Amino acid sequence: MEENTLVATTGRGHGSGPARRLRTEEKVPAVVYGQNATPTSITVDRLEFRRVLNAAGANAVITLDIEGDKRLTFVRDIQIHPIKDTVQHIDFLLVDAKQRVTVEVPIVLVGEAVELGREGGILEQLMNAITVDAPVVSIPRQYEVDVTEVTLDNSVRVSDIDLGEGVTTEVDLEAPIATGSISKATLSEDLDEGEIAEGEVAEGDEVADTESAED
Amino acid sequence: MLMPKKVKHRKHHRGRMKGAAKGGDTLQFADMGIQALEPGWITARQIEAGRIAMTRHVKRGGKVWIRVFPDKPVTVKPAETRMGSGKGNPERWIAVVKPGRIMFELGGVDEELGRAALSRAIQKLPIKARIVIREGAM
Repeated sequence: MEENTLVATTGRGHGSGPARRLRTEEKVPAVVYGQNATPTSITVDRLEFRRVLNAAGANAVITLDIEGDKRLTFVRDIQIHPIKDTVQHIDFLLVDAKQRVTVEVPIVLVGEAVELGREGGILEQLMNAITVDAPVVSIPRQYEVDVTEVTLDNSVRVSDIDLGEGVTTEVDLEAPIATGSISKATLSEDLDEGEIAEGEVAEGDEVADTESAED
Repeated sequence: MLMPKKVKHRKHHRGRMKGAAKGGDTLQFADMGIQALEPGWITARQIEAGRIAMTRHVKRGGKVWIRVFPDKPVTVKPAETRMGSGKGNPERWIAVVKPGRIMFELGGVDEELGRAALSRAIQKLPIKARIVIREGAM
């Protein structure tokens, strides 16, 4: 297990005012709870937290040094500002090294669906993350899914992912992750081309009507 | 144009647009989209204009998702009418948008084409907006 240590301090004020003041000082208000412990309000350094998260991923186990008391935690929730994209608040969950946790692991598509491109379709990712049950010490950082074989008739499904040792999921194994589809615009365009070829007359009004009827 | 099939009340109050979007502020379907940066009323015509601008620019291959729905009626009194005599007639439908809201998503195109198409759609909107791209997707 990688050692990702984050120093935290206690004794911060509660409410929006103190929290806002902390954020201006490059600190992030957070809370740590779990394992029947009393929830504790803490403060962590924003840049330090980002460094740990960049190095180890969103689902990494972090050793929280709360004023000398080292506790194993992992990030349960991060609140991000919708416009500024800054971290507003973090929830740390206390965990045991032997414990299993339910986490969302991101799915990344790799490769290029060449055959799908030839068919005029587009690749659509239907699942961006998968909920898995994994031991705390071996939570996958991300799953890479090869999409080179995806066509209009052939999708990549959950069963195609190698979840890893000791990792299980309750998601339907037949659920599609990425699939090929043809957009309505492309379909109607193909239809228009066919009509134009037959009648050899194309009027602007007709094209506009067809487009406004899309979706 | 988008509008509700049926409504419980024909006329609404105008309301306030305080704060940021509480939901719908992350990309759900595609790798790029348009995010509102200020609050505003987006009419069904503006949504439709944005959609047409995008679909015409990408020509073929792309797919557009509209993440806002104009479910609020706006009433207007007839011209040269004296004040009073009740609320005006429903004239158009609008979607109330708050900062952070993802209004459109566009998938199935490369970044350059996608940015150009989304920029054209932003031009059709009455509020400041920006293009957002999923981290590590492009």
